Amino acid sequence: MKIIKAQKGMALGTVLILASILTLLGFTIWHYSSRDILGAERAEKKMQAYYLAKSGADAVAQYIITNPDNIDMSAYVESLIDAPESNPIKLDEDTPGHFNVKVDRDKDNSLVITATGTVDSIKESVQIKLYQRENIPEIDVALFANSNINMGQSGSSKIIGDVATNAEQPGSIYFPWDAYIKGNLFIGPNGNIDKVITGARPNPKDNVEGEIHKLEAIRNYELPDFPDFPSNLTNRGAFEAGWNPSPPYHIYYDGRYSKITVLSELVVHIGDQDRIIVTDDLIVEGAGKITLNKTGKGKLYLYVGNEFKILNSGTINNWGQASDVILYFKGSGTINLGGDTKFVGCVHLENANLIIANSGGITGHIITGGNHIEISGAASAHVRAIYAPNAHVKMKESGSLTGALICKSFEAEGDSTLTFDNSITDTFPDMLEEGASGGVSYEKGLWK
Amino acid sequence: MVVFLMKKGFGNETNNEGFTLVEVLIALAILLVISFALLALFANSYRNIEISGQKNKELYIIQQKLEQPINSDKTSIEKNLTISFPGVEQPIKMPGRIHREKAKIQDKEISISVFIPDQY
Repeated sequence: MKIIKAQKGMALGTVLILASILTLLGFTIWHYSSRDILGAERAEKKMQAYYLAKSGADAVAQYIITNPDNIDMSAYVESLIDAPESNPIKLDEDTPGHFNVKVDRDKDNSLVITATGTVDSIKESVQIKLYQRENIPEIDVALFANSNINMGQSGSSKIIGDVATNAEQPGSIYFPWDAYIKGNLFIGPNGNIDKVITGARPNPKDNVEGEIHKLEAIRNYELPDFPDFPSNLTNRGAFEAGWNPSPPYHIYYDGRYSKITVLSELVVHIGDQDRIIVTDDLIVEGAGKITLNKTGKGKLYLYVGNEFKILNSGTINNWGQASDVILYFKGSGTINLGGDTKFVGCVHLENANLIIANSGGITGHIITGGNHIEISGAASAHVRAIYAPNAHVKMKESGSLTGALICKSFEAEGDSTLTFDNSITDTFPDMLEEGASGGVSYEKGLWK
Repeated sequence: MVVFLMKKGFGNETNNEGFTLVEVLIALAILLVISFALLALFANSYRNIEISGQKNKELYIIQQKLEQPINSDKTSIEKNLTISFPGVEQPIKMPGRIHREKAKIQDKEISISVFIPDQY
């Protein structure tokens, strides 16, 4: 009651209290608005930093995917992975801030491109994953040789179809007078046509009946991965198909053998499932033959670890379809298929060299990591691709091949003939599909 | 109760000496000065809140535009973006376009730029 009774200075006190409340309120609103303004400015910088980062990551990703400079992208990507973060890059003069990019490889072999945009002190990072994709190599020429093509010192060897090489060195291609290419010839992208092509004629370009061009880019034909042999098969020891008891002998199930020797007849039964046989040694000799009894869509997969021989008049899948038998051979040395031997199937040799002596030797596509192939017999009855990017291939005497040949270097002599047949493109990619690669390309994954 | 309050006096009428003219005038003057100062503070703060609100809204619109596929090249500038890595001889030179989205809020302009690499 005293306060109410004594009202001296009451108005002033009330005003001061009111002023204090208003001031407090004012400062609160001022603080809130200032924070809001700063927040909006920060949001602007944050957004610009994000788009700077996105620009950098997108540019690097797109460069790796599209390869606009036609460089060896696999090697370039490795150098980017080894390199530290990029130098700071400004988008342009009107855009504040900069970005840095780092390229790494993830556990699943994909590339991770991380870019960080910086505007003042504000940083924003984005990530994009590039998934690696193995390319099935395009085989659109009769012959592709990574380096030299020598059509022989004499003779009239010929290639019917287009020929391509990455070679750019002077004298990389040589023609004797009568040898010729009935198709177009492509040399390395930076080669000099007048110097790369040499020969016995005054103008060796006359040995090419089609046009001569430069490749738009270096071609990379890489070896497909050699598969791991199945390890979870029942161990069945050694197997011999001899004469006592009298043949035929049968294999009805998948299995792992230490040695398979076929001296008489071995029938492999295949239903809708593939039949998988793993063996250290496979020897077919004398009049030995392996035939298939196919009642379904399955194929015979033969995995040979150490020794593979077909001798005398031994045959595998004779009169059958080449696509029904796929043989993987891990051993080294040279496989010599000649005489009356016949192997109708596709082979993938890890390191072995190959000599094909006549048309009967082997039918079907051949992939090899070996460094030497010799073709001396006529093999024109069969259309096949020989895919040997590490090998020097020599065709001699009347050796002939219909299909396509991919090799490191090529040499022909005598009257050999190589004829392109594009029907290989229907069947060859099937053989390459497991781990095949014609170089690596990338496709965009998700942004983070 | 009423009789009690009347006897004791509720006070207001008993002592009104505090309300002098000088006191009231001083109080009014202080109130006036403080009110003017705070009025400016309130107005400015309100304006700032409104501007930042608009700015956030515009940024959202800009982001929407930037995230849409850019079909028209009219608003973008051609650019060869060069990205160099230490120890890597050949820099990445990626052709593309810088796309810039702008907005004006009162007298201030905001702009966000992004590089769109060419799709081959």
